[in-house]
Amino acid sequence: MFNDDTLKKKQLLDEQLMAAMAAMPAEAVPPPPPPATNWSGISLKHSYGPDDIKDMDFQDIGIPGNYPFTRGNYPFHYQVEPMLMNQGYGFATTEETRQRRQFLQDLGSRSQGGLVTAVMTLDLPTQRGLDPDHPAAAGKVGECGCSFSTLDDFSEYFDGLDITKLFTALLAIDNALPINALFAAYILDRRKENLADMWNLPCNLFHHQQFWDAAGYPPKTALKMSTELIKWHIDNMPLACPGAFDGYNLGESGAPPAMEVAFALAHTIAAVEECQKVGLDPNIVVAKYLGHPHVTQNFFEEVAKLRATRRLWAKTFAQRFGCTSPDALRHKIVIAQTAGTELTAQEIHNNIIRTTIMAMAGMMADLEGMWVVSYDEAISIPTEEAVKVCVRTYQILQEETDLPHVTDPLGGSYYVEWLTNQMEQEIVKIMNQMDELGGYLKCWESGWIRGQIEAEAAKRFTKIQTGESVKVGVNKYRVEEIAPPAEIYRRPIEIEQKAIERVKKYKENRDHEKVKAALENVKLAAIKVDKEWPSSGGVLMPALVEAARAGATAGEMSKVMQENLGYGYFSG
Amino acid sequence: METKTKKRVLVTKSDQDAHEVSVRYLTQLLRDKGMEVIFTRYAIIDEVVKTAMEEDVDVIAMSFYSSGLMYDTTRLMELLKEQGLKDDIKVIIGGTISDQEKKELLQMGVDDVFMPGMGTLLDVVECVNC
Repeated sequence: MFNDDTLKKKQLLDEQLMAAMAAMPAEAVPPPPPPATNWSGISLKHSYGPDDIKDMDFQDIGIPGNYPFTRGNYPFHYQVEPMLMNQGYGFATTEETRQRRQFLQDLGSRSQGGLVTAVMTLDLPTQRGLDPDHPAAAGKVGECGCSFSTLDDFSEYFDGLDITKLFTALLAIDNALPINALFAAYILDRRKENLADMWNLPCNLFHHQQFWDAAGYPPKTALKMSTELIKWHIDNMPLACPGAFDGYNLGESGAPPAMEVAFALAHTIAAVEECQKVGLDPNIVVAKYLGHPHVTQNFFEEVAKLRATRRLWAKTFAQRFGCTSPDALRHKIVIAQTAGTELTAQEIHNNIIRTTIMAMAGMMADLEGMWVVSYDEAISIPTEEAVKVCVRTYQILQEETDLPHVTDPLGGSYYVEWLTNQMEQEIVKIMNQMDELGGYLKCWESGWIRGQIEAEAAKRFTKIQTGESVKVGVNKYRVEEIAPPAEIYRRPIEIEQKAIERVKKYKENRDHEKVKAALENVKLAAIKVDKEWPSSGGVLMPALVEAARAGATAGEMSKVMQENLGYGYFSG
Repeated sequence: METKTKKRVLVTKSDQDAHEVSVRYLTQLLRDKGMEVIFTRYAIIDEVVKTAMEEDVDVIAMSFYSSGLMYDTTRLMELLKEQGLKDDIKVIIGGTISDQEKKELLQMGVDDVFMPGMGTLLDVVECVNC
């Protein structure tokens, strides 16, 4: 990277500094401060120079828009395409959620190609495959998201909107296959439009037991479900991106940045291998994966992590899977999310500063899009006032500052390039460790992955408790004994009754025999997926679409799947 | 003969809610304090009272990130009363809870409520232990 003359000059400067310090009286020279260690465990020097990256191959840095995409995926980026505003929202029923979407649109919130974002958080019962009238849904309908279970819900939300101009992502977790089947049925039967025209980002998070201990599908089944989701969208909705490279939830659960990427990448490799088993081309599958990383306030560590992720992605899928398509090798980080774990209930407006720093890290890493969370997410789902600040954060960074003028402005920094290398090595080290322990799937099934994450979460909490990690206004400079009472959003209780009545009415007004027969086909498809995989690959999602068209609810479809594919606790 | 037995605590959370990091850490802190902790996830709140009876616990500690707070807690207190356990089992609720909700929870017989920004998890540990 540098010629001998440059390195010699650097060495000379170091020697001069050491000599000058040695010449000073001992009492005048403070002892050198201990080097900092970043959250991923990498020990840092006090400053960096050309000697720290002298052995690097310039090809690994390259130029923006070129393999291995360390410096971003595009030669011109924010100069022509502002960062996409992919913040999610959703609460109560479709009506209230639709009002929030309009509110965001009026503020100027925009996503891909000017499309209006429709990243919708669904409520917890929906995420677990429960209709609002299920006993386990009681008290939880419409509270942490919007309740969705029938074609009527889709009509309530989407009727009158140009769905070909929406960037739609329904965060359905375990219910993702039935919810996307309902979306397909809505497009085909109620809108009479083409599936091929839709920009859909179906939620692909069947592997969540890696980091949550909530109920879920068994690991091997989760990989099959992911494959079903991906295959159906590739075959039917080519604009959709059904692969999720999810680091956010790993990070929120406790994984430090390098560990987050290692686990997310190991999962993606396994998921792509599963897709190969059913005959899908990795060039097409890998291109369907969008990044959803966690971005904390560790500014340089996050920038380096995100640059290392793109480089490792390109190399992994080129070298290990033989991918050649530029679309596959460019890892598109479209929904990087600012860390909820960084936010505090005390002095809650300080969270605006925190999310801005995190959003700036995303911009400095040249990400395609982000989900800047609202300052009140420490205590509640977002109020209108708080989401307005989120939208203004993107707009101010993009339109009032000089941040977007130059692509990858940190590229070539001794420190940033060195740290990018170190983060890449740390990620690879954790992935190798999993190989030594018997492979990723075994690490997932045994609970090893969750154990690692939990241990890291505990370390982080202990550091906050002891004051080793500073949270301003919480464990340092604290002036309030108790945070002032916060405005916490609660959906009116009538919302739940309204949703229950709506689903009951939906169930009354349909051809029961037709629904029963369609659900029987879902059952047969699920059994085939369970017993005849991978030759049965691709049978489940079409059966679900037909069931949705016949009038089945998401909860009814999920129930059949859970009964036939297993559902519960399978990780450790 | 040992007369003092270890305090038994049921720490539990709805299996629909993924916001579990701090409640898991609480579990570890309680164990570090020498308490016996049973950590569960429940599908329906009725399961919590069943587990509390089977495990003969002294304390039930529940965590909510909003979803189901008032419904589940109301039902929990009703069931404890029905079983005659209300005076034997201490109930502690933590999570994203408003002032008004705290008042209502205390009125229905919850022993203590921990809200965002109130103190630290060590205060919760102390409350469980006393």
